[in-house]
Amino acid sequence: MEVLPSRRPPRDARGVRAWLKQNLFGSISNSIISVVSIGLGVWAVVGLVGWILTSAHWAQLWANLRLFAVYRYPADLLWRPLGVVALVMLLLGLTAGASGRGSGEIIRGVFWWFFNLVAVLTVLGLFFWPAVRWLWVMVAAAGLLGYFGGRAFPGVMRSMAYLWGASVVVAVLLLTGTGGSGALRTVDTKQWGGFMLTLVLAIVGIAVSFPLGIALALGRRSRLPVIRYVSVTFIEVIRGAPLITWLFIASLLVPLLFAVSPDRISALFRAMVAVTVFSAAYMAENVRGGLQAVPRGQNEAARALGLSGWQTTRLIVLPQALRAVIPAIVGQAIGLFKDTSLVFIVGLFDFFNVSNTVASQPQSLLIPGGIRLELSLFLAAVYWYFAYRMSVASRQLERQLGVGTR
Amino acid sequence: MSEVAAPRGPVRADAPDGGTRIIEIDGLNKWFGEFHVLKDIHLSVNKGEVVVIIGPSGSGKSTLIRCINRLEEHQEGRIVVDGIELTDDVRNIDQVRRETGMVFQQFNLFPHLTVLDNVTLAPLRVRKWKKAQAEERAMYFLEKVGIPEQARKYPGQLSGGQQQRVAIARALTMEPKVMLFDEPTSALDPEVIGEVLDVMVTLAKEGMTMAVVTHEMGFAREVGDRVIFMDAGQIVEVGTPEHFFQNPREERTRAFLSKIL
Amino acid sequence: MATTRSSNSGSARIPFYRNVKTIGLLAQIVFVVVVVAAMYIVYHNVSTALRASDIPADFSFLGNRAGVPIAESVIRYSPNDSYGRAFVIGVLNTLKVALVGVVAATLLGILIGVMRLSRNFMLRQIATVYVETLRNTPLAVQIVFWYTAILTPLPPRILNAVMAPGGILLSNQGIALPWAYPTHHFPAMLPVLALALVAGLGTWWWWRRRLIRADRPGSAAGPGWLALLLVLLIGYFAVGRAPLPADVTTSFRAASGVVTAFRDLDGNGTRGPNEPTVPYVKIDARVPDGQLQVQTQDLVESRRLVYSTFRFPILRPSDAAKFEVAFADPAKAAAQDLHLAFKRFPSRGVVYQDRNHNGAFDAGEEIDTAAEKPRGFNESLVLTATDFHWRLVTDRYGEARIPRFEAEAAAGGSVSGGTNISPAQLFSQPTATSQATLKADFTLQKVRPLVWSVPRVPISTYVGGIELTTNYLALLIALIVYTASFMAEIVRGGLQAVAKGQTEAAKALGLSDGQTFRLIVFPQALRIILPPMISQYLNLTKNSSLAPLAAYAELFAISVIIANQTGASVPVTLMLIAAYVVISLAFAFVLNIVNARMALVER
Repeated sequence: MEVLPSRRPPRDARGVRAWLKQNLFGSISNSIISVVSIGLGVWAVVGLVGWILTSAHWAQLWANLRLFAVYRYPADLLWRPLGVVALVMLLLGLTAGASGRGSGEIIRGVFWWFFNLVAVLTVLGLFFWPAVRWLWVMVAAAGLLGYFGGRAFPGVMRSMAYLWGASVVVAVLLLTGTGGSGALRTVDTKQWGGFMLTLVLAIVGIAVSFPLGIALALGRRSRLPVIRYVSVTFIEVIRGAPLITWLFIASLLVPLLFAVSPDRISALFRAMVAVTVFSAAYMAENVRGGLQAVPRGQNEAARALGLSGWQTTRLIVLPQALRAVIPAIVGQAIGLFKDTSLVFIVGLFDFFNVSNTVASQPQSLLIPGGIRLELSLFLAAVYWYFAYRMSVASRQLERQLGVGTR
Repeated sequence: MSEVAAPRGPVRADAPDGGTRIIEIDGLNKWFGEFHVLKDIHLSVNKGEVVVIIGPSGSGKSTLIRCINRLEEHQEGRIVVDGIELTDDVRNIDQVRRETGMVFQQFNLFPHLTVLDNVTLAPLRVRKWKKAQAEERAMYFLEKVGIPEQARKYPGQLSGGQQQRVAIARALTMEPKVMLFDEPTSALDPEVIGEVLDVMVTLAKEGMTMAVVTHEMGFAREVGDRVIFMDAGQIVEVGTPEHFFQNPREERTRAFLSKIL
Repeated sequence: MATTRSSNSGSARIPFYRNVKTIGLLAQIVFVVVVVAAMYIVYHNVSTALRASDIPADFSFLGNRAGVPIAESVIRYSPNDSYGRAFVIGVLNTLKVALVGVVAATLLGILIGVMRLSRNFMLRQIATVYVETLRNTPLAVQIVFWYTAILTPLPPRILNAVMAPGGILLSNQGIALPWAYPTHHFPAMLPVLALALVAGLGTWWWWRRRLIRADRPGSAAGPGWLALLLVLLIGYFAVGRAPLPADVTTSFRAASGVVTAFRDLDGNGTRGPNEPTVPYVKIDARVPDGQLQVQTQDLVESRRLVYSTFRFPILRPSDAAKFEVAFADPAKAAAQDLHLAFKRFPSRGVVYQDRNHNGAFDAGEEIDTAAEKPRGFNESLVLTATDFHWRLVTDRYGEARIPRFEAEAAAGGSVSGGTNISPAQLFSQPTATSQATLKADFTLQKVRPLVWSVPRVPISTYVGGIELTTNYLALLIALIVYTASFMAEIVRGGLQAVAKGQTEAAKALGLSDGQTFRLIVFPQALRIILPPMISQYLNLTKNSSLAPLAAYAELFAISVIIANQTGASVPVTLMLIAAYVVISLAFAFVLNIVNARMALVER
């Protein structure tokens, strides 16, 4: 039999017209909806863009960018927080450059995303911010140096963990200072703030709550009833009340707990305690989900090979459980990043709370109607940018992990 | 399930005299809650013997084999493996597990580790071998099961038959004195069962002590020294494969065999 | 379990540190010791610190007078009430925002979730943008956005409130709606209620039996409800109007415009401390003649600077004939060629200089060109009312207000103040106005069991009806909009999870799109959707604790105030945690029931 030649589909099943018909103008009601919603959409976008470009008062916001970035961190010491950023970019670059295929792709994606952001800020700095111009150049250079360094010497991958560990110490020392009155003089945490503080809180919260959460999750799955009940109670009580109450409670009770006078414990530390403990309870639930997803057979196989209970947990169960919950943990990180905005309740001036300061500056109040709308949009845009990028990365990660395990 | 007591008291599945007893189970009883899964089991296995345990599902055969390395805890009776009694003593349990290898129905390979890491994990962590030594032994056994070229892959990239062979190599690398097989071919596609059985046959012929729960009667016939039929938590009949497949004594055995052969 | 005969016979000889069973016990004992020790240290430190710093450590402070003003509460509250009552009001306010929020967020979430799966490209895109922007922005930012950037600056100020149909008022102080309240006559309805209940249940039972007898399908609920409503309605009108008890009378403070209905037990005409007020009384207020004064202002409204505006209390346009607005100093105004233009007679307008002499107000004419910086004309205006009637309904505290009229006699001389003077100031300087006390008559009306209270604005606040404050609305809208973005994803996931085969099977049976969705897809999706939805309900409730950002006084905000005022940090903390844990447990309880029922449906 002769093979019939394939023909192209008829006109109205392909091309722009088919798409329009399928997606916008399939029926009368559909067409009405399309016209109305396109109209509304255009109106909203034109209105918003018009307002942003013409009526909005951005000058006051622009004048306060340093507050938004670091709050009252001394102007002559800005090289220290930016030095930390440079350090992170260097190590991230090294890791991205040196890591192989597979998970390396994700790290490289993260690196390039950060690098693009740094590049934009560097360009802005070169034009508009003379005080930090060369510091941003340093950050960008560190990123590139790290990346190509990593490409050239993939061997550094072996010592990466130590480098990251050391960088934590260096970062803490840089931000707080070592004392004296020179370049490394101590900066009181009262002067910390802005986006720097938001990042510090989010990173410390997730990093410290990670081991705590694992411990709590294991406790909740322990076969020993006492340990189980204590873990369950702890997790459920912490999760029962919202973060803002724990921040408030920490600000009241942490000094009492440590039996020292309240002013000896900084608001930052209190906030960190609350954020970490709160995050740990949620982390525990995420990890527990992962633990439940590991089949019983894995445990049995490990025990049958003679591994001890602890070895089984550490080498077999946890690695699988944690891999399964990475997307959930990224989700939690996004949540925590957003939730750091609640530290206003303990009197910290994070990125969000700085906007309240700026809004009540006399110059802002002179502007008719204030600049609350401008501030809100700015805040929303910045938070959104980071949270959205993280969620996109998380979805990619989820897909890649899904492929990996199959 | 009829509660007919065995006519002459519990059937003893003792190993023939003259060998070295490596597994001794005496008066074993086990309950899951109120359910009596294992009833008065007496079973011993000599060094180098291949014991095949058959029986309908739910007869307790898997539970029995899992008691031998204490994946299941028994409530009554004695289990002695290579002269070590399984008690609440953690040290004894660890020793027994070290000396017994186990192969599971669902393979239970560790999906986050490569084949080689799966195989070397226990030797490194439990036997505290050097890495080079562990990998050398691992490769030896992977070659033995016929898949050395897959060593760097992850279990998820292998077929079921290959995975089960890795699982066997993983157990063998610990150089156990006894190998326990818990329905090793039940989860496999029919066309790959053969490759796993071949490995097991070779192993049996090399003199490994094996306790095998399986439905593969061909395997039982070819290398089994003794076949044990279990039903409703007790040993119903014991015998050589020839005896077993040609003229089983018990009615229940006959009924079971007629269904599966 | 059977007694151990010889099992694990060696167990007696095993050293305890190697015994599987004792190891577990040992671990627990060690754990308990550590936990108890930690708790003891905490307890010790806290109690030492408390003793040293003289902070209240028990709950006795709850009975003390709070002295905190709380702007809105579901039940009666005054600063004289106790801290305990303030806390309860916090809980109620949390519930008030949570309940409304949950319902509205569910509806919005379903709408957006369904839109995300729409075949219409635009709807899909709008829903996607909605979800991706709103759930990735902190709730705190969103609350502040609604509160400080939208609801406070954008709507008109209260004296220029938008009068929506149905007596609804909108302004930057919130929304006020008409509302029905039970009067002193309400107890007369109790037998009617009982009767209606009986009638409803009886009809339902009877109708059901008829249906069963006739072996017909159908529901008896409809007739039941109908009977219940019918009896209620007839009963309501049959009960009729009732006069107030004979000793109820009113007292009026002209300075603040407040009229109080109370039981004049001693008959002296003024309210003593032990004489109770009467809530929800209908009063007919009549002002034979009175005057209001205001000063024009340059003010920012809806983010624009408006010059030379004046506002009188919102008065109904229907009463317009009874009012007259004029310059307090007509000669001066005439000299400057100043005129009045009304945006809404008589309550709102602008003072302008008719520079182009066209006899009408044109944009720009309200600005005083003689001034250095742009500003309006600063003029005093007087509104004169003749034979003005107000129908008032007292609030739950037995109070109602009329605009702060002054008697005409006083206004002829020096014009002072205007609406900006607070009542307190007026009390402190009585000499000027006391001679000219306003004459107003108040007639108490008979009432039905319910009274319809319509909101008004006598003095720059809403009075009457029910008020949804800007604070409440900002928090509520932010919570709804934010939570709905998560709910939309849940709904979308649930709908997508219902197998495509189900839709195809339904279509193959000939069901329409709508029927397929309503009868096949949605019920199945509901099973997947409901459990995560309930945890979103809990999230919404817990997130209402961000109320301080909108200055709304709910559980958390009030607890912070109480803790700061009393210093009783530990007891307040415990109460706060307990309240939230109880709320969480309640949700968990509901979730368990739902899960159990869902599992049942599955079988």
